[in-house]
Amino acid sequence: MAGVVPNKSIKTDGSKEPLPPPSPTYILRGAESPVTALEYTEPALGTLLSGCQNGTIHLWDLNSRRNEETFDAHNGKPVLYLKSEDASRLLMSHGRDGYFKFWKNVGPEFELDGKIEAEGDGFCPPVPLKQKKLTRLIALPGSDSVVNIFELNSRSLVRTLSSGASSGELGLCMCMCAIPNLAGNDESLLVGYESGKMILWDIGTGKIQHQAPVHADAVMCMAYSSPEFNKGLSGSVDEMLVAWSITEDGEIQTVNKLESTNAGFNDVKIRPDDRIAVTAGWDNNIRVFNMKSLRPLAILAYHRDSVHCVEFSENYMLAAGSKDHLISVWDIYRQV
Amino acid sequence: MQLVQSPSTKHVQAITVEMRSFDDEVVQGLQQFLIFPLRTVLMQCTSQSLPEQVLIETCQALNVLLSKSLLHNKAVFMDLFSILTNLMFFDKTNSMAPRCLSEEEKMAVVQALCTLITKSSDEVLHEVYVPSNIARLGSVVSQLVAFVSDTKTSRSLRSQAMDTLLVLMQKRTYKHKEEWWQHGSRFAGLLPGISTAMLKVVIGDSKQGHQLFCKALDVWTEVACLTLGDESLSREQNEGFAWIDGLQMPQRLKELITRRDENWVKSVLPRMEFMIKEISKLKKHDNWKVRRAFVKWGDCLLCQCEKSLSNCASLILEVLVLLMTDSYTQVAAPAKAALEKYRDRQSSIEGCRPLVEILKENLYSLVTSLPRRIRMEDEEEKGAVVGLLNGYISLLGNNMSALLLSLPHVTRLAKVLVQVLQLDVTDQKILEESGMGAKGSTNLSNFLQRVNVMKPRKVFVHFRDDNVKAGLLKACRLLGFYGDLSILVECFLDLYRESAAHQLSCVLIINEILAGHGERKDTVEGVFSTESGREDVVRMLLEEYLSYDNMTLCETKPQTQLVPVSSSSSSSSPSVSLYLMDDCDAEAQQTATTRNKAIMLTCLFLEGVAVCAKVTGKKLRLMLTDALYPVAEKMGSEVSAVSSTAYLTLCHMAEACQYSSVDELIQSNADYLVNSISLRLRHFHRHARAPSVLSVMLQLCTTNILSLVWDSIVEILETLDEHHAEQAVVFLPVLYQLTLAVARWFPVQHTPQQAKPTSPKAKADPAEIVQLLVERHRTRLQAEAYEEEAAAEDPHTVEEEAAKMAEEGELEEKAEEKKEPPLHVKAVKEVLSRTKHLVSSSDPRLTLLALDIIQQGCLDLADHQNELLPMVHQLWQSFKQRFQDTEKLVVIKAVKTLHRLCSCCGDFIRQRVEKDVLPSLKSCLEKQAQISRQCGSSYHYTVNFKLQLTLLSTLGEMALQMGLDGAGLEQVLYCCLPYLSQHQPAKLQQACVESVKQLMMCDADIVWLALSGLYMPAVPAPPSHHFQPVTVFKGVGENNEYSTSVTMLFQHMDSSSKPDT
Repeated sequence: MAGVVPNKSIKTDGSKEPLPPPSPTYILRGAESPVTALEYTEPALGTLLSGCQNGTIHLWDLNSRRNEETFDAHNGKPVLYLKSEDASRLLMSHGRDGYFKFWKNVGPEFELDGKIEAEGDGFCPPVPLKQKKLTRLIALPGSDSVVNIFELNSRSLVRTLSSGASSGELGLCMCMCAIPNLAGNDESLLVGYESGKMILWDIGTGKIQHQAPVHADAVMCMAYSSPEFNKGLSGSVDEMLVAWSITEDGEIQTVNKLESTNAGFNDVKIRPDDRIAVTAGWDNNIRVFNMKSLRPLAILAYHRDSVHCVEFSENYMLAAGSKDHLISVWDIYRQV
Repeated sequence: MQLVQSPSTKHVQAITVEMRSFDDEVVQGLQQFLIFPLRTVLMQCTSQSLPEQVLIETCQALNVLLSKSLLHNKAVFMDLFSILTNLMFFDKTNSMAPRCLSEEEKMAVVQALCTLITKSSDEVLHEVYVPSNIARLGSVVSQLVAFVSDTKTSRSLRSQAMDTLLVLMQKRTYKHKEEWWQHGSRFAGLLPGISTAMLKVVIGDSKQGHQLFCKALDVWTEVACLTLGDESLSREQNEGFAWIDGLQMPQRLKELITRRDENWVKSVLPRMEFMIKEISKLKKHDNWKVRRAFVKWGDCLLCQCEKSLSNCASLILEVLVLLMTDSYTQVAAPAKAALEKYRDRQSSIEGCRPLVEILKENLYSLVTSLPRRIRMEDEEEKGAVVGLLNGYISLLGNNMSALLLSLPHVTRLAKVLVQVLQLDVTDQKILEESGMGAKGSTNLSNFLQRVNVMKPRKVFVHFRDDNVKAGLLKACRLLGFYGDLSILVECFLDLYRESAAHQLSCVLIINEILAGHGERKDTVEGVFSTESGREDVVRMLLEEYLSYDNMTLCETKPQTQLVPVSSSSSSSSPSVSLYLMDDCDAEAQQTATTRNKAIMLTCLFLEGVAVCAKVTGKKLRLMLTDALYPVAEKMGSEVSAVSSTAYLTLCHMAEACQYSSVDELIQSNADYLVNSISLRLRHFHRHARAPSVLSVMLQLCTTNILSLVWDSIVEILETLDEHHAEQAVVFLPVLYQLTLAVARWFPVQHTPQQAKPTSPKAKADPAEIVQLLVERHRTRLQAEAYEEEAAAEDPHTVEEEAAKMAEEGELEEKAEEKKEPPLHVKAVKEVLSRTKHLVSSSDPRLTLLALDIIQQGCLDLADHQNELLPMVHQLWQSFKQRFQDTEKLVVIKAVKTLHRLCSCCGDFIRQRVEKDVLPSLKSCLEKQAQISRQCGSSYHYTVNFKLQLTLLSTLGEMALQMGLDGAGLEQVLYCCLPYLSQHQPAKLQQACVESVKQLMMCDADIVWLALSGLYMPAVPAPPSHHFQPVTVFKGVGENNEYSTSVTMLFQHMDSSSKPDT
């Protein structure tokens, strides 16, 4: 009898055993430096692009899960931004060397196809913008708190956004996102500054639409949903994650504040269907939030070092790049 | 002419010989002339009794004559025909006959008759068939039939009679082609007689020989075709028997000609059907010639009596289909040809039931009866049934896929197959063979030696015969070949999920279906499902097969695996002992069966993966991301059946992906494995085997893997930190492999430190010596500093200490130029820092492993002294305890490790050794010296002996490497001395002598003094007479137990010091 009892207890333990914590679907290994930027190409191609702290860009084949190609794009300076266009024949990247570069896919290799010199060498990644007339604009951070808007076809400067205030007041421009307008095609640009202030710029006029001191410290990252859903999230160096929306009058309105257990957010992304948002934390974790209730859904723990960037694919696979040189790919809440 | 007067054997023989020598033409010319005397003799035979031999010879002569010529004369023919037939009737029953014919005579007569018929011209032969002769014909035939059916008659006579019957019936003899069908009616009356007689032969004694059998079958076929042939019947009935009515002959005779109207056919048919049934029962005859005859039989019947015997068509088809799968091509090929001919004819004739329909129907009924037949009938019959099934499927060929589109049919077929192929897992052997497996730590080459790679034998519940098994599996493959893959697989997967009882057979069948489908790509390209469809199915199957639940079926419960094996150092794995316990249980049988089933199922899954690999080919490379790891992991299973199947599967995978070997497969896809491993390590309790796969990888792969596995190793180290008690057993081998791998990837340049010139006599540059001394002083100071720290500080503040040290290290490094140590050095350091806790584990196995790691790790770091020395310092605290360990094996290992440390660190550890190690070693050696003195030879096998040997053989070199001097050296020396005694075992003496020789290199003087204390060959002569002769030594020159060794050592000392001075 004595032998039976522990057996039983084992069985009941087994049945009650909670689901194991989520694991990434797979890990992409081989980057030799912290991963700082990620970009999915069209799903049909099954490629993931990643930028590294050391300025290299990696091309990953997601079917074979192997590194297909690596090239140095930004002279050893961290890559902040990657964007592929035209079925990945065209690639744009921005790095802390202060250049926004265009790459052309020639056969298996990428070839430099011109660059724009941004004055700044800060941390802020650029943001593509759309206007009624000029559909291919890019907002590039300039020196200090200035933001320059370039037209991509002509690669010429079309507007400069400067508050006129002393640079010490706002601090460096830290992050940006485009705020589409429900009515028209004109997009506004929301910029987060080192001071914690966020300013909504009207691109057409180059004037400030609204400004609000959302965070107490530098705005590290922000993301905005579709204008229909009208919700944005921004993170700072503290535990707080702020949810805000843009009112009809074009004002930034704080909706909610979420407190997380650990401080510091590197990146936040809202899934295109506005259902969930993920954050990349300094605490090595990826957090998943429900966008509707703004409640935390899951903590994805895998990385051993700060997570730098997160990115959704068109079929909602999540990729995260970390300081530990690894890229984790997650299949999570895809059915939600 | 003499012949006519006095017929004698001699004369007849003479004629025969003469005739043989003639040309055919000559004989033809002389035919009339020659026949006459023969005929006369034969006539005489009928009327009066002549010697037996004469008749025989005469018949033979006639034979020869006719075979060399053709008969054109009707009268002569009829004459001969009647004489011969008359002769045939000489029998006991015939009172008219002067005597009975003997067997030989009958034989001769029948033969002659046969020749007569064959060698007569059509014209002449027609006479036989004229209606007026019908009675005679009938009686001849019945007499021949009588010969045949009389089993007492000789085989040759029966055979000859049947030949004659064939000749009589053959179509060649019909003069007027348009009238040949009339013959059917002539023989119709004889049909029952002939066919019954033949049937008797056919189903008669098997001893009668196959020739007779074949002939009988031929005759049967011939008579059936003749009388029931479709063409002749239809013409006969169309013309309304006009020819019979029109005959000018008596009514009595007319009645002998049967009117083959529908009524007649109806009356005959049941009998014929019965006979066909009876005959078809014999289709599995042992002799292939007989089976070939069956093919002919079936072919003719299908060809000529299609309408009349249409009821029997399926039965005949069955026979042909079965014969098509015959192992003899001589049988199978004509059978196939016959079936194809039939199919072609079927398609050309309208209104006929298509072959496909019949086949389908037959297949259904066969499938329905299959389970019953497989269960009940004997093995041979089962084989035939299965062969038949295969025949139907392959005949249906592409029609099969249409048939399989119907859901009820597929389900029925599937259910039947699943039932029939039920595997028997009650066999204890499956379990018994476990335990010999690879046991966790997998070394590929070892693995192959240890496990004789074999597949588990599949035993089925309902049959034992391998042919049946092969046949059924072939049926599955044929299904896969012709059918739609995804439909079939779906269907069987449904059954698989439906009930646990069917899982085994379902997986087996799916595997075969897939294999069959794979065969298709070479022959029929892209007719049915596209390549992508196949790939989807393969992906689905792989996912199912390699799912976590399926792959952990035959694992012992994770709980049992996590139980540290600390208590027993025996090598039997816990799982094995667990089974043994189960066996004693009352429910043992049940448990064993369940386990067996799990093992079998796992093997089937793995085999399935191999099939998938074969089918997919190089495209498998893309699927390796998920498929490689589970299979690789299974290779480490302790169940040998599973591990060898897994190995075979890996071989297939390597082949499919076009890698040259399994090694290359693993090397090229190390990244996938690492991925799987690292993810699994996170849920370690569910994937206890992941570390062993990692260690296999470390063994196989090259340097570039280090950066890949880095995070996995960190993961392991972290897990180890969290629960090192439970999991160290699993993890330590991996870490050990890592240190080994590092040594392989980065070969150490470092050569073991040699003794520094300690002898002041050595002629060296003073400056050099000074420098050396300074350097040594510095190192020693450093060592002492650490020592003090360690002594002063609480062991709990090790980290603090490490931090401090790191600072110091940094300072030093800054002076040299700061440089991050390479990854592999970092890895080894991390590993070593973990082992310091494990060295003091209570489990001796762990301790041994940890010591192994230290040994190897120190070697790896030998080129990086800046890393090594602090590390050694950290390890020292726990390491030094090992020398007092109660487990002697640990002490031995510790000594070996110390040896390695000495070679790597040199005098860095000298002081520590002197302080911490030597006393315990010394007491140990001294104590053991008492025991080993004059011990028996069995002592050589004890642990203590091994310890002594290890110590004695390493001490010298260690002392040399550490640069031991003064008190330390003396300590070492004095513990060696007792072993110089001749009462000690020779091996120990030997080792000791070697060690002392090395000690001499440290300081010859001390050694000399010590040795002199043991034995003094002579009082040393003072170098000058100013000195008093030394008198310290007692018993100078007295031989004692030490004298041999000591003398030897003194000689060595002299010889080595001479070149110096």
